[in-house]
Amino acid sequence: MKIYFKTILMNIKSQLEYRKAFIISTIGSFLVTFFLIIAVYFLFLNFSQIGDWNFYQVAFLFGLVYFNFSVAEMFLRGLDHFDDTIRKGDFDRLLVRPQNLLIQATSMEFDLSKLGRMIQAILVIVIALLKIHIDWTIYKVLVFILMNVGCFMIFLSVFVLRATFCFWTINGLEFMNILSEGGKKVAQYPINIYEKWFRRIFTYIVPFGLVNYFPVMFLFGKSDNWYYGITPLGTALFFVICIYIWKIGVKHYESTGS
Amino acid sequence: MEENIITVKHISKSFKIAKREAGLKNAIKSFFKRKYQVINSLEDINFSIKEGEIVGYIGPNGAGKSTTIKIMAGILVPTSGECIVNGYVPWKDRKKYVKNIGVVFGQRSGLWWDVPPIDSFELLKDIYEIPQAEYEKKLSELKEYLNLDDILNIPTRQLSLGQRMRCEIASALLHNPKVLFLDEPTIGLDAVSKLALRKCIKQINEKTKITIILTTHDMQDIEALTKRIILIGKGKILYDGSLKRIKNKYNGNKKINIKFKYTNKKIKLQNADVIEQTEETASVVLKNKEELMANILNEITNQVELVDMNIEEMSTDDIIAKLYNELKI
Repeated sequence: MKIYFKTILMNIKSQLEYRKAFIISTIGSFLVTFFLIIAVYFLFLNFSQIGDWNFYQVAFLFGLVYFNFSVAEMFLRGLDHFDDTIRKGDFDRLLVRPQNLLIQATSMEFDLSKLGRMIQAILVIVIALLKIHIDWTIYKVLVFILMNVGCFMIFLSVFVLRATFCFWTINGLEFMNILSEGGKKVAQYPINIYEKWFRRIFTYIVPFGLVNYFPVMFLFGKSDNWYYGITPLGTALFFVICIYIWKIGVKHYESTGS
Repeated sequence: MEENIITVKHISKSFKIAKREAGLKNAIKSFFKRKYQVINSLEDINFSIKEGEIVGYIGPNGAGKSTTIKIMAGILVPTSGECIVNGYVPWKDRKKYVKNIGVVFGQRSGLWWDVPPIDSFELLKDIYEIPQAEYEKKLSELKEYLNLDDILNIPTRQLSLGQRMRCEIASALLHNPKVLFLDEPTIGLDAVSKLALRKCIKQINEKTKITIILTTHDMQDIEALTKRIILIGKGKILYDGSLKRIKNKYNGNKKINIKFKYTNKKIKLQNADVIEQTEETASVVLKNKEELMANILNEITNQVELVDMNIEEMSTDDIIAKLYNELKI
């Protein structure tokens, strides 16, 4: 992990070489999220409720998902651009270095400009939490932290999965975007508003339900089941499976070299 | 007694390549049902290399040079065969193995593009877990051998190719490896930089006794650096021995450069090899020293309308081209 942060530091140094580009893309990423939340707001002007969720509750989910997605995009940029690493043959270079391959691949790039989106998401969460009545307890604070960790874990897993796909083909990555981009859009709303089959995919296959539905029900007092609060832990299993698939991908690469 | 640091035995590597015909229809078809073609990139490769040796690994494009290097560097797993480098099987126990090798790919950079090389070196120090004292010692040593003093603090992207290549080599040597793989280190360099780089490589080998395997298309690299070459073509080893022996064989052989009136016809000669031909020029080398020049010129004038010609001694490049030609690779 030390290597990861040292490499990231190097990447930040590189990015600061291009100051203007950095400032522009930071502002850009701030604005993008801003318009997205405005869009949700207009939606609620017409509907006032989605299921039994009001605007601030949905805004909270939106903030949660976007915050963790921006953290993922910032820290996991190397995985996001893993197709480039494969295409340029840089993965060979990682293979001749005595460090964990996934960590090396992840630290290939770092996108500081996602800071704009991250700040925006934090603002949304803060505003939402001020407007939603929650009986805070220490356990609920823990649940809130766990939700964030779980949400990040899912994005991490999905990014790993998407990168692994590159070992077989670097064309057709769009297909894998269903998981990352699609998942992000889906997870922005409580999953009980969707059809059953759809809900199942995003609970049992890509487990967004574990971070945005069950724990939120508990947090908002819609359910008293305390164990709803620890469902985000289930994302660890998803992560382990993705790591396993990644390792299969590396084996495949070593036998084909392409 | 010198020991073998690299042993390669019966290494073969075949790839399955997806075949796809042109056109949208075929593209869709191949998406559902792929046809594969098996290509034997390497067939029964055998050689061993002693500690401290510099070996030139040569052959035309697509001969299997890179594949062999990748196998020895632990990047690729061969289909069959054994390979021991420095007591390790390269594709097993990767993390431990790679601590003892250095790899430089001439066509790609191992340095971080936007920061000075010294920053990359610092990071590599951590990646290879080199103790500070050892790192400093090695760095000052490399600074001397590779003339790095003035360039370590300039962002890599602003360095010339020659300067960058010297830094690349330094970056591959910081952890004091026993074996160095150089994949086309002089590619794209100007004449002056090439000479400087060769001098550096030679010095490193002499002073540190590191084993070096070098692939190149530049025969002058080979002449300046190595006593031994391994020639590979179509996945097989065709020659393993001294460059001198090959050169002696052809020493005094003449090369005839001819110019003729435009023709598409391929020149075919009985007693000489055509090593190069365009629509108006060709280079021809005699099959052996005893051939009568008159006979060959006769053959040539029978086939084309000769405009101009000159005769010269064969250079190493010519010898290798003739060799490729004779071996049909």
